[in-house]
Amino acid sequence: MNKRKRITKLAAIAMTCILILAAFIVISYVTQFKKSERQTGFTVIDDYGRVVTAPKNPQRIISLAPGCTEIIFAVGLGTRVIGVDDYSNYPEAAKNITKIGSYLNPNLEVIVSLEPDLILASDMTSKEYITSLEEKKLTVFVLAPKAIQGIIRDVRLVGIIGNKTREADNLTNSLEQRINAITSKTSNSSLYRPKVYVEYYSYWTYGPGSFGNDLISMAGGKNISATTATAYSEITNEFVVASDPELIVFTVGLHTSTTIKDIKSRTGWDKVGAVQNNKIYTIDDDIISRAGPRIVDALEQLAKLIHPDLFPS
Amino acid sequence: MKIYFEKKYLKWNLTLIGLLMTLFFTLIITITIGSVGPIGSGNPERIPMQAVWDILIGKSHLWPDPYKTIIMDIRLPRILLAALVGCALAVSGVVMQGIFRNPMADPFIIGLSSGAAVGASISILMGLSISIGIYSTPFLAFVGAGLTVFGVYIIARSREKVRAETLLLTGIAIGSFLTAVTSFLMYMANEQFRFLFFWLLGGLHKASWNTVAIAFSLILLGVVIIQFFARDLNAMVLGEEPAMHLGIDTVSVKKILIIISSLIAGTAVAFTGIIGFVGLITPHIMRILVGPNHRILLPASALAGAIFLIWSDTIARTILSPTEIPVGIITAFCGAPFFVYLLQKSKKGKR
Amino acid sequence: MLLKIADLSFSYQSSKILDDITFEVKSGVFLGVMGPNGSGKTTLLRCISNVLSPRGTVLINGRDTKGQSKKEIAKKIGFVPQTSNIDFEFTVSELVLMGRTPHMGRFKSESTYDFEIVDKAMKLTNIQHLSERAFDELSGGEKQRVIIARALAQEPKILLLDEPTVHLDISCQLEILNLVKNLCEQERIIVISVFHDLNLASQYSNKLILLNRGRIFSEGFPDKVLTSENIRSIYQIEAIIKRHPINNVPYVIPFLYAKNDKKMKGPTVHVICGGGSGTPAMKLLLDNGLKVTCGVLDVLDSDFEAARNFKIPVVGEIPFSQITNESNKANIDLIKKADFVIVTDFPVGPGNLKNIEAAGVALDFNIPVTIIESSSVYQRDFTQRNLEEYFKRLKEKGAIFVKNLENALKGVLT
Repeated sequence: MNKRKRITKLAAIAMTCILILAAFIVISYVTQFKKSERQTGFTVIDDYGRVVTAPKNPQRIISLAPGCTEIIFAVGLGTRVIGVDDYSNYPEAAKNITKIGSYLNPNLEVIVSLEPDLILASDMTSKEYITSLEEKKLTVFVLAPKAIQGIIRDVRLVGIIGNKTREADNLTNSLEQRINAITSKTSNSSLYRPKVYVEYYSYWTYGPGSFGNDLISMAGGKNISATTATAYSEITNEFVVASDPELIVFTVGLHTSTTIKDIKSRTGWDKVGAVQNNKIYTIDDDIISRAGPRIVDALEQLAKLIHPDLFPS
Repeated sequence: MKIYFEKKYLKWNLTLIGLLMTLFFTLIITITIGSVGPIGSGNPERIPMQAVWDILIGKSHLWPDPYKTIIMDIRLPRILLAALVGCALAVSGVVMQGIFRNPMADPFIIGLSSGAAVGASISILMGLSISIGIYSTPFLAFVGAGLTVFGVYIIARSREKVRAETLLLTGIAIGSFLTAVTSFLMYMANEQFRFLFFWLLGGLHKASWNTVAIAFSLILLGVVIIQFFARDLNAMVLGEEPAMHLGIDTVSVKKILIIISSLIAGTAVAFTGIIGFVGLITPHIMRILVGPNHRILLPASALAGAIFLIWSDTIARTILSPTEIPVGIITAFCGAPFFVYLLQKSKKGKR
Repeated sequence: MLLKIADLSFSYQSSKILDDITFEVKSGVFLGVMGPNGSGKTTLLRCISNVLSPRGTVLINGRDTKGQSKKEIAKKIGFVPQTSNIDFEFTVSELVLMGRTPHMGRFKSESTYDFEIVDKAMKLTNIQHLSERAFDELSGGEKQRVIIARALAQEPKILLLDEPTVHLDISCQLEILNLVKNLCEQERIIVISVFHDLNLASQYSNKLILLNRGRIFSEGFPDKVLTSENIRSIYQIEAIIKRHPINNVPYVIPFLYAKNDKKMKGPTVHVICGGGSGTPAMKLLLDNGLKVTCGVLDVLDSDFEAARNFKIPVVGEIPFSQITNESNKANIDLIKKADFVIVTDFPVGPGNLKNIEAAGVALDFNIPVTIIESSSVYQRDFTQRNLEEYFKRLKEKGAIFVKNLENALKGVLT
């Protein structure tokens, strides 16, 4: 092919690409900056750092995650919840509320038809959905805590938004007290930290940056997976046998079916201290995996299992 | 002969009109189907049929605001996007099957879907939709698809000629590699794993008037351009050499068709993830119904693909309401048995 | 219209397929291309149609095909491949219409003229009744006619055919070739056809090219190209070239006899024969390593021809005459040099009665004579009942009578 034709062709392709890119960027920014126009309300910053104008006294709240649901109910706003995601099952009352689909793929039609004035979402719902909802003139507030403290902050925020600051403060105070009761004893540097292996799914454990990892350390244990590559990691038989944990805890819930027998029968695990001493325990999946107030329950349970002498039942 | 062909063209035109009317009726019917009705689970409430009619003719003030939002801003764009994407995938499938003379070819066969997946992975895992904007994922998916097709083409060609078989094999090889990359990224991902997995399954939930506008312009342009190559495709399915002997410059026709087909398929994938089977089986069905002549096959497949995907999506979003099944699962459910049937039929034919 | 090929060569990667090909063809000429497998015949066609890019020049009326687009070339050259595998259910008329592709713009639809050409092409190839049929349902011959019609719809000035009849039965072969030949003559198009069958090539071609290992071995009229020397060089077989009884073109009859280079060490057998009865005898004896001579034979007799081809010393006689004294003497001389004599069962008349007498002479010289009598004497006796007498006398002299050739051979070998 002769050179001029080639250059013209490449130029045409480049032009088209630039045009498409420009189109995407322009539209992207335009939609980004569309804010919900509500005259009155609080201007709050959500966990994504977005400035959200929340209504002063929301009466029709939708929760897009089980953790959010628990927080909402915990500060006393449960009666105002008109829609929850498929997995919200706590407290009991939540089970009877209209379901709006999974947190991954909430049903836009149902949400819009419910006419909510506030939607609480977690980081498990993609940004695209959140933008879709906002395009329909709905207010979305994202709760995405990164650590236990974040959850407490979220409780406070929801209290502010929902005009339940008193209840929220009571709750946060009690939560912080309970946490302190544990960390005061476990932050002692001379405390012996037993090695702990916690599993939330067959061979999957909590690594650095996850809630589970924080909980173990706050509960006075030493997470054998504290140095894995990712916050949620898959480990091998060799790793566990080599690490020789003194305690094994695994979650029980809707999507796990592991039993103590399974754990004992894993290759090589019969050599592990925890197995030999029969220190294999279970914990409710819901309380340890959700970003809600019950995370402190999880902390207490772990503390009791790891240091039964310090925290008798 | 002239009369014979005029009759034939008349038959074709009637077929196309029939398909257009089917599409129109599909649009009308499916706009009444959804989680909140009128046809559907009616949970938490049911929109009455009258409301749908009123909203469509502009009398939406008679009904509560959310009704209008649901019908006009949620359902209608989604149905239109389904039509456009179904059309794009079907047409792209016809082109790929024609160029490669391979009945198993689909729009993604030269690695397009794997490239899009890598692009989307990067966007999702780096949280670009939060930092740059919600169109970062579609854009990167599109770029990923485009770069992959370009790369496959460059690798497969030798001295300005590209043999169909080489292109196919290179596409499969690179596609597999990129799929492995995506799997690895999924494995290393943590919280975003869910998003990526969901994106890969394909879905029309991101439909909005904006996306419909972009998709409409790109896809319609591509489909129209491809229609002008119908004669070339007819010759190319006879074989590389017979086509050349009929005067077709196969090298440049292949190039142009691959670029445009990748453009429309890439646009489709960018907005909806990877929806399989539409691009594979629609051409086969239409070939049985209207014949192999691309002058009818292309537009007929375009319309049929649109109809097919609209219905698949309607089923996907209402059958387990409020939960939505990824539409790729519905198309596969319909596609796989039909595919097996097709294989049986071709086996019998070969005996 | 003049097609000129000059210094054409083509290599596929590192192996040279064609080298130094130069020839010319004018309108209305049917050029046949032949050669053994791998000689480059199909490659040559594909170089002419510019599907392959060879070195050298291909000039159509002085214009080089290299600079022309595929479309322009397709307006001038039509190509008919060996077979067409079309997996899609196009109808015959759709396929023929595709032949108009090089003449149609991308944005135009077919014109009345296009349809007329399609009609004409289908009429010429006699497939009008098939127009609505699906291509893959047709027979081999019908399919080839459709492909030819498609090529004709291109309105080509040059028609290239690659072994167009190789998968067809004999009636289809002739049908197709007659059709193409008529087109060549009536429409004045150049036809270049690759042939596998030497005789078909000879029948239909005005000129022939014989390729060997990518080069032109011989070129010209069929008489010049189809010689037994050429065939021996190229195909390594022996063949007789005769004239076709109707149109006088060379007719190749390959020899199925494997040439025996061994020196014959065995005894000599003289075969007295005629009317074709001697040929199997000669062959059998030669196969068994015996030396053979024969006589006296009419030079038009097929036994005589066979003897010449076997390179056996034979005494010939001018046709329709009695055996002359000279011939008889020569025959006797050969007999004296032989160790055995075999007399096959040939029709005996006054003209060749002397051959029977010669057998008697052999017995006088104590040379064993074996007479083959597979059928009754009456049937081949044209000497007014003398033959039986002669045979009686020969029997008395010691001639052995056997039923068939194998027994005769047994007798000789023991």
